[in-house]
Amino acid sequence: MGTLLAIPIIFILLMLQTTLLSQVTLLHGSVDLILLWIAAWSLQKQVTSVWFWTILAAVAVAYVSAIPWYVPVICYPLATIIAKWVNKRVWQSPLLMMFLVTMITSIVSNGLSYVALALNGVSIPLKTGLVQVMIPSVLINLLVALPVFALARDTAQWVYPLEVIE
Amino acid sequence: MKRLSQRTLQSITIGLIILGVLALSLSGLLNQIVGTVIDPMVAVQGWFASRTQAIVEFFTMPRDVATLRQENLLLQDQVSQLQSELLAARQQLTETDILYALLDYARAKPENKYIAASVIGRDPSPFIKYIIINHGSDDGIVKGMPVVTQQGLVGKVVAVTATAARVQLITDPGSVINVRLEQANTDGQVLGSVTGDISLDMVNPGVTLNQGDLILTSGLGGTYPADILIGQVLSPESPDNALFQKASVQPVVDFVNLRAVLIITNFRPVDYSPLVP
Repeated sequence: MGTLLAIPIIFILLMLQTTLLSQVTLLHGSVDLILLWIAAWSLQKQVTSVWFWTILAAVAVAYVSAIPWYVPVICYPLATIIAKWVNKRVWQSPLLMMFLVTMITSIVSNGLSYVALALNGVSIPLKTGLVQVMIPSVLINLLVALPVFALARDTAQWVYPLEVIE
Repeated sequence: MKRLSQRTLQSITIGLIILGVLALSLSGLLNQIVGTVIDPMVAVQGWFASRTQAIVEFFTMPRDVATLRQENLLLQDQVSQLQSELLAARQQLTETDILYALLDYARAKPENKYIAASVIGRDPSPFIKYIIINHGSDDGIVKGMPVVTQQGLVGKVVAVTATAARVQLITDPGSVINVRLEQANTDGQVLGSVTGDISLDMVNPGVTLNQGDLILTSGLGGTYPADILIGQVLSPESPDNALFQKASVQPVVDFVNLRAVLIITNFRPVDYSPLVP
């Protein structure tokens, strides 16, 4: 069920991202809801189908977005790897983990987008890109990280109920 | 005889009393007397009536409140339904207005063939400015077709699926359009940016640019048809020793509230890449 649920949820998140959230901006930065969801989902210890969700999200975003395809294909698995790595080391503080993973993956994702566009011949002044897009995007991602984490945690508890040890 | 006279006397007395009362009534003196007698009775009657009404209401009110609540709920339902219908009607009206405006534009330029499409999404990346429209190759849309609104140039189709297409806006940082300045009678290029602003570049420094000069597509390069309005010169910049003049541009299209567009289907972009050595 956890694996199958990925299809509708990623689809809904993608629709929300392309319709509503792409217009909710801080300066010119916007929230990356799918990246946040992948990070939050990867932080849930009971979830076993993280990689399917990650690959599906990466493929879906690569298909829909005009950004070079390798940006989501690299960023989303990287978010999963970082989330799993952090999950093993930061003990019993899931919110701190979520903020940490959000910050790292947002910076990497925006940085990689900038580099990929530069490689494709789209020149964006570094200062403008940094001040108008990257920093606001990281900030807005941090703002939205908390509700996304809560939603992912509730969904994970519903899909993968924890066994009670007597 | 004695009886008769008594009856007669009684009749006369009654008649006199009636006549007296009539006389008093006609003269208005009776009203005061009647008022003196009736007013306390009316007051008492009123007091009783109000108390009786209170008692009746006390017993019947709960049932009325329940009925009123039901009616209130029904009315609230009706109000919500009407409000949603009103919203839908307003939405339809706005869409109709947009479509009429697009239709007017299409009629004004009969040499082109158009397909109207709705904007159904925007690119998830904040670095680039693309929109997704709800028509694709099934409707005859191919890569490279120009996209306009009744106001002016929007962009071009860059990717197509069967039922949808992706359009690169002229505000995208990767967008470069060859343009012509109507008043200055010179050529230049309009460039997009990551902030969504557009600017004019590559303008001959010997030409005088003025605020408000109209910018239209030149048709050079074969990417866009000629003479589609893009915007107006906002603030010309001509620094000393610069190779070209620049200017910020006020686009005519409102890209934030873009909801419907027209795709020019009878224009085929020129692919001159095989000619490039």
